[in-house]
Amino acid sequence: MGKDFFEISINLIKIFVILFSMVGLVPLLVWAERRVSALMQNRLGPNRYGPFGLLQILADLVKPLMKEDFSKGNKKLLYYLAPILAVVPPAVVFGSIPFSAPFQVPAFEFFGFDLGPYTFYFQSFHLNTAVVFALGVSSLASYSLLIAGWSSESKYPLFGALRAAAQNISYELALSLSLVGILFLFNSLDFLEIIEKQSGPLSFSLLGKDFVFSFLPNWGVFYQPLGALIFFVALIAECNRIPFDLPEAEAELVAGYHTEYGGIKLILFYIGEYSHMMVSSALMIVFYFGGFDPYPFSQETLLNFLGSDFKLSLVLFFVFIIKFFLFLFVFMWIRWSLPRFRYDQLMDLGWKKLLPWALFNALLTAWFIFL
Amino acid sequence: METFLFYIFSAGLLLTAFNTIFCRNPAKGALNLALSMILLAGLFFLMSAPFLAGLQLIIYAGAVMVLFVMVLMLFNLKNELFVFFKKRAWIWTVFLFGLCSGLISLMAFSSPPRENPSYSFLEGKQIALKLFTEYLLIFEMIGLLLLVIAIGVVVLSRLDKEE
Amino acid sequence: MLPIVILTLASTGFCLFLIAIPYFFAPKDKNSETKASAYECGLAPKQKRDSQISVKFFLTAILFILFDIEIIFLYPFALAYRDFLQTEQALGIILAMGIFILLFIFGLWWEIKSKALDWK
Repeated sequence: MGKDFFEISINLIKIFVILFSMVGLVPLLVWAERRVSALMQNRLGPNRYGPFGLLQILADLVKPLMKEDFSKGNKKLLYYLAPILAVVPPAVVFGSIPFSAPFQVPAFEFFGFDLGPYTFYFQSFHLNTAVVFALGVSSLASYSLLIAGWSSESKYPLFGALRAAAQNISYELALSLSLVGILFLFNSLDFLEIIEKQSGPLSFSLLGKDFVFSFLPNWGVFYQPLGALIFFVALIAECNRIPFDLPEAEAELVAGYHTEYGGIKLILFYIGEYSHMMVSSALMIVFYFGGFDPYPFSQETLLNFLGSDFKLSLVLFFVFIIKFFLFLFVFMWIRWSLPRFRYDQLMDLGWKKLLPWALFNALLTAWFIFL
Repeated sequence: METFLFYIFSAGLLLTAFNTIFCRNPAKGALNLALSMILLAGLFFLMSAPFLAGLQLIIYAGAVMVLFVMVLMLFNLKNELFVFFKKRAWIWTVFLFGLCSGLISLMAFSSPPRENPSYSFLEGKQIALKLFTEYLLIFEMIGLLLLVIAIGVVVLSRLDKEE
Repeated sequence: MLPIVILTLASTGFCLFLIAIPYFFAPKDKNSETKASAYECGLAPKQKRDSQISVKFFLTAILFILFDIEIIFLYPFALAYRDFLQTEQALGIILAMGIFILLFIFGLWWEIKSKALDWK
C-alpha cells in the first residue's frame, strides 16, 4: 500500500473518497432517474424543492432514517446482514476500476521529508487479475437476495428471492462468456492494460495483411459488437433492472425479496442496486468503449498539448465521467422504454439465446485471431 | 503485514468452519461455509495467487455455495439438537481429532518451508501453458466428466416425474 | 490485499452506521402481533409454508455450476492464445481445446433439446 507514511495516508484517503463518492452519487442517480423518466413520459419530475428539485434528495435521505426499525423472528442477524451484503460487493468492485491513467509523481520535498517518486493510481487498489476478481465479487451478490428472502420468514419473499437468485446466476454465465472474447483480443486480466490496448486507431492484421482504420478508435466494441451487446444485456439482467425486473415487480409476489424490509434497510437495497448499476456502466466502458480513451484525440497529443502527466490524468478522468454518465443514461432510457419480461422468457433468453451466442462470439474471435 | 492478515483470515476460516459444524440451523451452517470459502479466497490472494482467488470466488463461493444455500433454505428443516455431553461421541471426537492433527503436523513439519513464488501477473498464462501441455488428458477428462454430470442431473430429475 | 480488506470493512461500517441511526432517532414500538405476522396482501396468513417447490430451480443451479467451470477453463486458454499460436504445437492445442468445446456444445445442445431448461 505504500512505502512510507505519506503514500499510505494518501492511499487510505483515496479509498474513502472513492467509496463515499460512489455512495454519494446514488441519491443523485435517483433524482436523475426521476427526472429522466419524467422527460420520457412527458411530465415533470421533482422540481419543487430546490433548484431542479435537488433538495428532494435530502428529503429522500432523511425520511427513511426516521422510520421505525422493526425486526422479528429468530434470524435477526441475517435480516440485518442482507442489505449490507447488497452494498459491499459493488463497492469493492468499484474500487478496482481505474478512472484515469496513473501518473508519476516525481520526488519532492515536503516539510523537510524527502518523498520519493510515486505512481498514483486512480483506483483504490491496483490488481493484476482484476477481471476474475470483479466477476467473482459480483457473483456474491446472489447471497444478499437469498438471505433477504429467507430471513424474512415468509413465503413470498422466499420465492421471490429464489427466482431472483436463479435469474442472477443464469446471466452470470453469459456475462463471463462474453468477456472471453475480450480476453482473446487483449490477453490481459488487468483493467489498465486492457484500456491501454484500446488506445490509438483501429488496427489489426488479418491473413497477413495489416488494416488500419484511422477514423475509428481501437475500442473493443468495434472488434466484438455481438459480445458487447451480450455483455450489456447480461449486465442489465444482473442489476435486476427493467426489463429484467421480476424480483422487484410490484404486481407479482408483492415486492419480491425485500417485502419485509422498511426504512433505511430498504434504502440500502436501493443503494446496492444503483451501485451495481454504476459498476456495470464502468465495466462496460472499460471493456468495450476504451475506458478513459479520448476518442477524437489520442493520449499523446493531449499530453503534448497539456504538458504534464497530472493534467492529462485529470482530463482523462473527465472523459471517463462523461462516458460513465452516458451509459447510466442509457440504462435509465432502457428502463423506461421497455416492458418487463415474463419469467420464462427471461430464463429462455439467458440460457437458450445469450449463452449460445456468447459461445459463438468467443469461437469466432478465436478463429479470426488464428487467421 | 502479510502475516497479520494471514492470521486474521485463518482465524476467521477456523471460526466459520467450526460454526458450520456446530450451528443448529443447517441453512446458517451453509452460509458459514460460504463465508469460509470467501476467506479461503483471501488466503489464496495472500499467497500470491490472485487468479486462483478470483476463480475460488467465482466457482466455489459464487456457484457451489449458492446451490447449497438455495437448497437448504427451501427445505424447512428443523433445528438440530445441540447434544454436548454424550460420552461415546466425545471419545470418537478426541480420537479423530488427535489422529488428524497428528497427520497434519507430520506433513507440515517434515519438509522445510518453501519460498513463495511470485509470478502473479503471468499466472493466467502459466496455468494455460501447464494445462495444455502436461495435463492435457486430465483437462479432457474433466470436460467429459462435466458432460456426464450435466446429462445425469437431467435424467435424475426426470425419474420422479416419469415423463 | 490490504486495500481490499479496508474497503470491505469501510463499506460494511458505513452500512452499519446507516442502520444504527434509526435506532437512536426513530420511534420504537413494542412488538405487536399484527406487525410480526407475514405480509400477504393485507389478509391474515392462512397456512404455514407447505408449497411445492419446482425442481427446476435446482437444475438451473447445478447446470450453472457446470457451465461456469467450463467457462473458467476458457479463461487461461484465451489469455495464452496468441502465445500458443507462435509455438509449433499450435494445431494440437487448438484441437484439444476444440474437443473440450465440442463437449461443452454437446452438453448445451442436449440440455436445450431435452427441454430441461424450459418453463421457468
